[in-house]
Amino acid sequence: MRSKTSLFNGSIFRSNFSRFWPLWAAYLVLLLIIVPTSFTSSLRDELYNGYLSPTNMEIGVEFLQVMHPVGLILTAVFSVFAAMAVYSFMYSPRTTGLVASLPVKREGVFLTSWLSGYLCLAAAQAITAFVTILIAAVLGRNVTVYVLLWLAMQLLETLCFYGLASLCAVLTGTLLILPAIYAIFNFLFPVAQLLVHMILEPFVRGMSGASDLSLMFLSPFITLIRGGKIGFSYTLENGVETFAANGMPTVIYYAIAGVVMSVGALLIYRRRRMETAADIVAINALKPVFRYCMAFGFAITLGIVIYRLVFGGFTTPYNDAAVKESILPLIVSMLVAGFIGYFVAEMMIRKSFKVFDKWPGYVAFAVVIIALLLAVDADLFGYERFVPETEKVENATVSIQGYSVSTEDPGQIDALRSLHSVVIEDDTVIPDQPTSNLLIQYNLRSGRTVTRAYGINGNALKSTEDFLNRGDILLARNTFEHPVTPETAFYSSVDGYGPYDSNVYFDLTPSQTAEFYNTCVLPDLNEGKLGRAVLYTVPQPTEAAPETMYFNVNIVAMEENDDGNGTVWKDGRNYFITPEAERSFAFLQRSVPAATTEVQGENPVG
Amino acid sequence: MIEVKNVVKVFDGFRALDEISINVPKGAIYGLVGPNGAGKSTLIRHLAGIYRQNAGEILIDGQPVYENPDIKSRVAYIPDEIFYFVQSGIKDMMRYYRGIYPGFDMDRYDKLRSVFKLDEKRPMRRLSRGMQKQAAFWLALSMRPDVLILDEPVDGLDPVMRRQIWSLILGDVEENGTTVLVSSHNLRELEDVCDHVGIIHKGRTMIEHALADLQDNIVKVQVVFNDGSSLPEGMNVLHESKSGKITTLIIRGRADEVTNAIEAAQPLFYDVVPLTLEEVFIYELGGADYAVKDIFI
Repeated sequence: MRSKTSLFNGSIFRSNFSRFWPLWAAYLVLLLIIVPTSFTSSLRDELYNGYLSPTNMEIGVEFLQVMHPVGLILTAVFSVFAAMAVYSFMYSPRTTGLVASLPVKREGVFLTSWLSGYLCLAAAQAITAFVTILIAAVLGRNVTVYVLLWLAMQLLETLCFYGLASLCAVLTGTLLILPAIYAIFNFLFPVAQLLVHMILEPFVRGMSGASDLSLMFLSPFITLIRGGKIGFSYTLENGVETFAANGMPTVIYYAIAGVVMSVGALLIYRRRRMETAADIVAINALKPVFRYCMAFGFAITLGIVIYRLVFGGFTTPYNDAAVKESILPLIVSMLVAGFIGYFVAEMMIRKSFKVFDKWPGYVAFAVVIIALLLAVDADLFGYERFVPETEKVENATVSIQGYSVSTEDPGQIDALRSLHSVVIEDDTVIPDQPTSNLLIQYNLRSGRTVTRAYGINGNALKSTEDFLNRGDILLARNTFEHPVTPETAFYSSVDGYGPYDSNVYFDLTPSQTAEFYNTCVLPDLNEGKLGRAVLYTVPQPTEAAPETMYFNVNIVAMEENDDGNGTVWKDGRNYFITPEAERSFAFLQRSVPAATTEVQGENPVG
Repeated sequence: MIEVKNVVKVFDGFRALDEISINVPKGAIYGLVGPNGAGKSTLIRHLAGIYRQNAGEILIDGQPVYENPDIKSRVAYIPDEIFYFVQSGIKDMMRYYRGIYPGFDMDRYDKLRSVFKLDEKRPMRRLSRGMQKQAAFWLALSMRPDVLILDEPVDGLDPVMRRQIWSLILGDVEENGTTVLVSSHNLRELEDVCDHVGIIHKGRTMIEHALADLQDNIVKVQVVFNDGSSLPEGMNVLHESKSGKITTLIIRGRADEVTNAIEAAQPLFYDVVPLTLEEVFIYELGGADYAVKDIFI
């Protein structure tokens, strides 16, 4: 008698569909309530409020801009619910026994369960897309392309999140642990990296807590929802509408990762012992991993709390070697928190409080933590002294007090390295003087990013000012990358600050802007009379010329994005213009229109 | 038919099955007995293909059971705690099994409806334990299995339903040559239905025989000896107790051999009776350090 089972079993599929229908229905209803309303609200505004009629493309792009993140959140949430439903048989000895005794291979059970969950989610998305297109058509709009793009992204993102949820499902034998580890895996790596950086900031000079999260890509949720790689834009140029959807490759990569995780889940399920139903960790080999991850997780979370509350840590400036915090209280805090995490994990694994015979493992953890922290404190890894070699740097950015410059020029990168070395050597701040935050970032040719942050004053600040005012750096900071012409310039807004509180505000036309920029600003910049960074050398008040006026000019012109697509975008440069910048100052004085002058004092400008 | 060869199963360092071996002939009704924790349910879960052994072989018709849908489709398993989906009724479970077991017989399912008289739409979790057992038998027998594996099968069933179910099973054995392996602590009931018995203890097989052989091989003798006479030398006495002049002996050996030996001692009175399965179980396990202890508290 041949079994009629294979890699797919219709009976299991139908059972999953019918037993968990409230879940699939809830997802569908939520989608149907939320998704079509995105563009119907735009049309309602048009109908009832008399707004300008948006084009189909405008509506479509707005739909994607709003509904992609909304759909993503729903997908992330319902993927784990779906996994909890279709893999629920793994978590009770009773249902585990039922399914394992069936004449269906494990591959068949897993793949059928996987497929039933994925298809039910996908069906809800497809129905929603269909209904959305239909409603749009009834309202006389054709948004099919955009809705189908939304659907494609949803289907791919569901592959990613559902794959992750499937992997989490086979790692544990307890239903309620599944969403917990799913959430942890979604945020674990960047959050852990952030916490480690935060912990080490007071002890490692140059470490920046928030700006160097290279592990962000390991969080699918964060990357897909705010990674800056997925976006939809609409432009109207000379009556031609253009639509751009960036980030599809990113979505595809994460979908592939989801498929890989699903295959991994299948391979693990094939080896999974059925007697582990109801265990916290279903895979024996992962029990030590769970124990040490819990110990480390507690060390970097509860450890911070203990260090702050008990030892009053994280209170001194991270850059100041003279008052650098002792690392010993941090070690104690992390060891205490790690102890709790380690043995709580063991209690969860054994479901017993008799766990302290596992002390050798904790001792090993403690030794590693002590060694690592002491090594970091002594900079044995060379983190504090590290300055990348010029030829390995693709581009570099430095920013301080609102001044910022990015460069790919080897000479400028070399100059930045010299500045960086000065900052590293000058590792004390002058007491009772404010510090400025200096951020240096190197993007290396290897793809790695090196970010350092320092609080500096005194000599280091002076060196930074000198660097920013270097001729070529000054130009790089203050000029547009592309020519400013009457065609590419938008406008210049000018704020004039005169004596006796007399201020003027006016705009320059595009042609005035181009003339001002090319004939006045550029020559003044070249002569170093304009655009100088003021960090250390504070200019003295010009008492000799009390009636002198200053102008703050913001020039807005078109730039091309460097994404290779020639995308046009607006960019602005700000200039503080004093009489020293003779050409620019004279131009603006000539341009002050009497009609726009606001007189606030007794002596009007002019 | 069913062969278990030196199977080992270890749970977190505990050897639940320790090189256990049993052999169940085709068409046999095999009683698997043993004290609590002996490994009966663990062995049965291996036979049902739920657990994977650490070592050894579990074969049905010469083929391994684990991950073998062809074999498993011929096996019906009724566990001690009945399997079902929380929201499902008997009809839902019938549809589920019908789609999975190729031998599922709808005609038989319909005929058995008159035997069990259960509400098919009522969720199984709302049925009593005994009704859940009935439902499990209804579904299992509808699969027309070649092998029926039962773990404490009639717990919770009333006497009439017990007889009814055993009658159905015995009918299947007789008509279709179904092989039945049943684990139970109700040894009096097993004695009525089993033709083979295996006793396991601490994950190992202690004894495995046809029931008749087992009972033939150990006898209970009540004897009153003359003054000066005593039990002949060389008899394998498992247990001896005395009440007044009557000595009760449990002796390993065939009834005719024991009778001849006792007669030779010319006792005043003697009676040789076969042991019940329960007595065999108690006296055999007594030799394996599992005797009833005289404890005064």
